[in-house]
Amino acid sequence: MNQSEVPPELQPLLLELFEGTLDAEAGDQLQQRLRTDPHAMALYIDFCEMHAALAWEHGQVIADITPPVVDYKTTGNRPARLRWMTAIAGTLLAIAVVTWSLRDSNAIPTGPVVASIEQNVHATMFAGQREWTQDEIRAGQYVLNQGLVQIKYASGVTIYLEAPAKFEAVDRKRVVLHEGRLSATVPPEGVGFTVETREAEVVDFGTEFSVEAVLGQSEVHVFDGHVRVQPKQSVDQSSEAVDLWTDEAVRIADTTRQASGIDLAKHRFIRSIKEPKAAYVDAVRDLNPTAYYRMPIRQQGLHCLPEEYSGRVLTGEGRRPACAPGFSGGSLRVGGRSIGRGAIVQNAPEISSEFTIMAWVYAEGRAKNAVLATNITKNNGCFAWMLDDDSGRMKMRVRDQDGELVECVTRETIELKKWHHFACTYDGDMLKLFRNGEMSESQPCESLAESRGSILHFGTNWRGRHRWEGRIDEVAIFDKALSHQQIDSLMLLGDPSQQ
Amino acid sequence: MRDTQFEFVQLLTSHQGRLYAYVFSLLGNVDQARDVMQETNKVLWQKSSEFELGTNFAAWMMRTAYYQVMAHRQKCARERLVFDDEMTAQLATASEVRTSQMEQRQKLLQDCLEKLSDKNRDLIRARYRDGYELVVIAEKMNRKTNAIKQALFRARAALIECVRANSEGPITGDAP
Repeated sequence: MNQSEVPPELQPLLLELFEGTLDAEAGDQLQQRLRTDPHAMALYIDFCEMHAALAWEHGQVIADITPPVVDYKTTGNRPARLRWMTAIAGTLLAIAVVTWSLRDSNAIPTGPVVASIEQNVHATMFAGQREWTQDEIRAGQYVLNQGLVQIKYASGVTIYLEAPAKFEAVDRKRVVLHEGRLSATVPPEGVGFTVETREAEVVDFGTEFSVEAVLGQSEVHVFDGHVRVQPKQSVDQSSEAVDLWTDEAVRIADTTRQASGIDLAKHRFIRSIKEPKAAYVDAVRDLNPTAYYRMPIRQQGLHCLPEEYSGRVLTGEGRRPACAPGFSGGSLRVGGRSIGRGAIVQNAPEISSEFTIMAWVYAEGRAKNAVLATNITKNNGCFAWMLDDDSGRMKMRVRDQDGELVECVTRETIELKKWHHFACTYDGDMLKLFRNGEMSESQPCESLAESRGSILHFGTNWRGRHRWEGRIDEVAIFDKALSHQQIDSLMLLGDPSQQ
Repeated sequence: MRDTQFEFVQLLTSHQGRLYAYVFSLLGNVDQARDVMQETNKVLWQKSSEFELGTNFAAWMMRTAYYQVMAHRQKCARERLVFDDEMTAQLATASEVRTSQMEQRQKLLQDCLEKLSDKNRDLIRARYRDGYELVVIAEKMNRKTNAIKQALFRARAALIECVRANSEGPITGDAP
């Protein structure tokens, strides 16, 4: 019999006590038992402490530590120790009350658990100047140095935080975003969830919204539903709350504390890590691609259907994650402030006598010779899909069996910060390049160089140079040449609202 | 100065779990324990000048909490109280002896939660993390409420035993 084994007559009494259903008679019995049985008393305290510890561990005990009202008239006569106590009493609350001043960003969070980390995508997070590796988010201050985290609250609220970000988990219904990008999805159970920044307080009424806090301003973007934005009062004037509905966005500047309407940023925030079902995706699958890289946001790896052609995401210095909102779901982010350096597939699908490769592409810069995809390495491979030297136009360059190069180039410079559909086909005779469903150029090509055993790279060449600046999504490779009509049909299935 | 300020605040926050355990054991009622805990926090702030940093914060906090429990008993209707004054005093003495190991046990609890069976862990989370009533848990798990109540009790007992087994020294001494 272990020490925690509870005598049968004591068990129902403790059961009722913990559920708050102990009646007076049972209470008397419990008291009598504790008075006369030291072991029962020890057990009783064991259970009380365990109940309290569990409640604390899981964030059920939210202590509202309200400091007393400060009597400023007498403060000057108090001893020094009392003066600092009263000073912080006026400004500092430990839990559940938010203030901007005197919060210790170096403290290791020791408060109750308010949420948990669901996904960690190349994330490095610190709390109290130490790396935070726990799955729980306790009340306290955090710095997200790199990558992306998905945090889930018991109410069902999900938030995505993208590095670089500084935030404070206050309690189960409030987070303070000092700096960075945050997206929230709030189910009906989570209504009232609040995101606070230096300039405003955003209260949700069941919706999907994003907040970006940078030095001197905050932005709020509503993608679905309804939020209320209350700019914080400035020294010289008060500000009115603004109700935002679907597809509305505002910016609140630190100087004015007024909400000004701005354009909705559809492609800026990571709002989900799910790859949604889409007509375009289904249509691609119906055409039986040899390899389909949907670029989902994953903790590890570059996912492919089928799995055998999966690869690895390459990372380096930077802050933002190697993923971003894609044309559909997530995408591979390369360059800029991100840690993304492209991706590599060691076991690449063979590009042989016929092929098609297509992708949705988002450029944030026109780096010279920036590579979208290539299977060329030192002694192997047959294609490089890249930007032209100086013009910023997309081109496909293939190498034939004689080592000769054949190129197709689009007519237009790639437009920045916009999703484009590019496709390239080779049917054994002609190499064709398509942009947004229209053929840009075709060139005769009698054969392709051997590519068996080649390594595929996305967003970089095999030397790690000529990196793409932007995002790559929905890369599909076929062992046949799709027709112009098929490519045009696929392009038209792209959701116009994403454009 | 700033370090001293935060030291007090950190002491106050880091002792909240212990304070709740202490007050709950004296009152045997969840709602009353929360009320008294809040009152105690308020008084701790008000009397912060009496506390010397470096001395035993837990002892000071529990002494303050004990007086708040007694004050609460004065205001509370007799039928709402589980224990009489004498028993409350006995429980206070017994709890004060034990709570010095509370932080250590809280850390061990995290490991022990991982060692629980999936079923028991789900149960504990449903009750404490998600805050569901027993009847809701029973409905979600397709079991009877009484069975859930019993299972929850056994899960707590298993955790107590696990924490005890992993502690360096004995946790529970016999109460005086």
